Amino acid sequence: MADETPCYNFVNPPGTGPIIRVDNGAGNARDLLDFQASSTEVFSVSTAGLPDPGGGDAKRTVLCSYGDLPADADLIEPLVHEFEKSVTITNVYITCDTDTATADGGNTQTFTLNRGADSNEICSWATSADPGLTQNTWQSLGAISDETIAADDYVYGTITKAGSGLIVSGLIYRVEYTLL
Amino acid sequence: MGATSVVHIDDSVGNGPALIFDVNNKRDILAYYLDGTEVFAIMSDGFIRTTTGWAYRQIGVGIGDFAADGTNDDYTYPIFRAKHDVTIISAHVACDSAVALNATNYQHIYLEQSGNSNDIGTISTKATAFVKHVPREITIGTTNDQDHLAAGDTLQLRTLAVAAGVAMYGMTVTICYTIDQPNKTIGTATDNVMRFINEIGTAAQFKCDFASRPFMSIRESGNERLHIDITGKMHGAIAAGMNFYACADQYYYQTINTGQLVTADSATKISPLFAPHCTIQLENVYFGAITTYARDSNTNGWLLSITDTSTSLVEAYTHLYGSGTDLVKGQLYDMGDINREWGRLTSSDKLCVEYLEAGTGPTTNGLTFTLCYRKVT
Repeated sequence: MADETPCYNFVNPPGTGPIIRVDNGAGNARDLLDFQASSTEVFSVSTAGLPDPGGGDAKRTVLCSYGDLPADADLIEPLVHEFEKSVTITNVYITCDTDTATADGGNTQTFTLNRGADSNEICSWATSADPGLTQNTWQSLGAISDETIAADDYVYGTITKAGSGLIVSGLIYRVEYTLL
Repeated sequence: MGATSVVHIDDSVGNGPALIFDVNNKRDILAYYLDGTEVFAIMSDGFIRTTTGWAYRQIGVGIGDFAADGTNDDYTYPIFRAKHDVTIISAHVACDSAVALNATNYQHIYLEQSGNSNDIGTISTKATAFVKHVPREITIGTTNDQDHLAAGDTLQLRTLAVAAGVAMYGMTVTICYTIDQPNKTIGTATDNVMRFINEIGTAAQFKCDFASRPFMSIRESGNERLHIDITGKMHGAIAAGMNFYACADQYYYQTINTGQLVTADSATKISPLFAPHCTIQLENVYFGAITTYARDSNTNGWLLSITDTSTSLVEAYTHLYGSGTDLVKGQLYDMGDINREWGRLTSSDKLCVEYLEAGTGPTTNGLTFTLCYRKVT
């Protein structure tokens, strides 16, 4: 570890408590940490104590392996996830374990993700190509809106068929989010 | 002075981490209090202790349909297994269709674990009606430590039909948990080297701005435990380009129920497992099923192969004598060592499981996988 030239180097300082302790009053809104790379913030800890790191640490993922979906699934509305804390949805994907049947003849499914609190649409995508969903291929549900999910709120799916719809085997939802 | 940071380091000379902490007594490195309550701390092993959403992890699993006649009473559904001790914070279940209250014919749902016989929580359609897609909370018990899931144990779900039962469709379960801090917090909170109390200014208390050097390195007796690089990414120890240590909270988990496996699926069905948003290192894959399957005495079983669609990362037999394992319902088993090179997956990779039947593989119900991985980039 020679020649590291740190700005601060704490090596076994006397004591047993936190080496550095910071106290903010309730009305103080300043961040704790602000690390910048060439003047762009890449890591921070907010006044509430929430880390906002860089790279892949900033985003999290949750899956919902729903299972098999019948072709006439219009009345089915699965819970996709319930969030303990506030989050921002950033991306939503679905996939399956077997190619769906041909989408010819106007037989399609529209997959929508909705927010529990107000049923607003977060994103939506309809099968149109052939196959509608390809085995082991993650299909984005498109642009995101109403992406803020409050603590203890949830997201759920709706499925709407056109024509006879499409059977989907091994349907999985994948939701990516950041913390608020 | 309005925006002044207490510590502000810009473009300092050097290539190593700007802030180095190296302790041999497991004292905390940094503790941050808001209005007298600790809301964020970094421990000497790199663990982040916080009351914010950062500490809360989420798992979602599809369970499927329950028959009214109690058929599902024989099943135990594996939900989750972790490398480290965790605490279950909350659990919710929901169905894709409504289920009415019925005091006579109903389903009782138990959240349990393999480590002890105490219920973690229960819910029943005798007392709780289900509306499609609306989550119902399973109250988590804490009095007998039942909210604590030890490393290697499996979180499980079980049902019991009472009288004629009731059908429930498209059940999904969501679990929120926290990863237990591996080491106890020591020392007196006020025994500090530096302490800032309501310092004047509005900018961040600590601000660093560099072009290339890492921000921070936390070490125990000279061994690095947490490293924050110039991109703001947190790592475990970095040496010779490989991460060889990571604290418990650097690991992430996903669970996927791939459903029923039948002979026709052999070399045909490919079940997606995961697609990461960044480069990850796959550390473990655990698998299990909802019914018990004893080892077969000859050669009838299934080869499960975890692949990135081109290369097998790890394989396991479900039922084969000698090389397989008894598959106890509701229990998740470690598939074994993962090839370190192939186990590194980028954001363009897809993780899946492929199936190959040996002899006559028994129909296997509710095959479930839990993935454990670290984020590399």
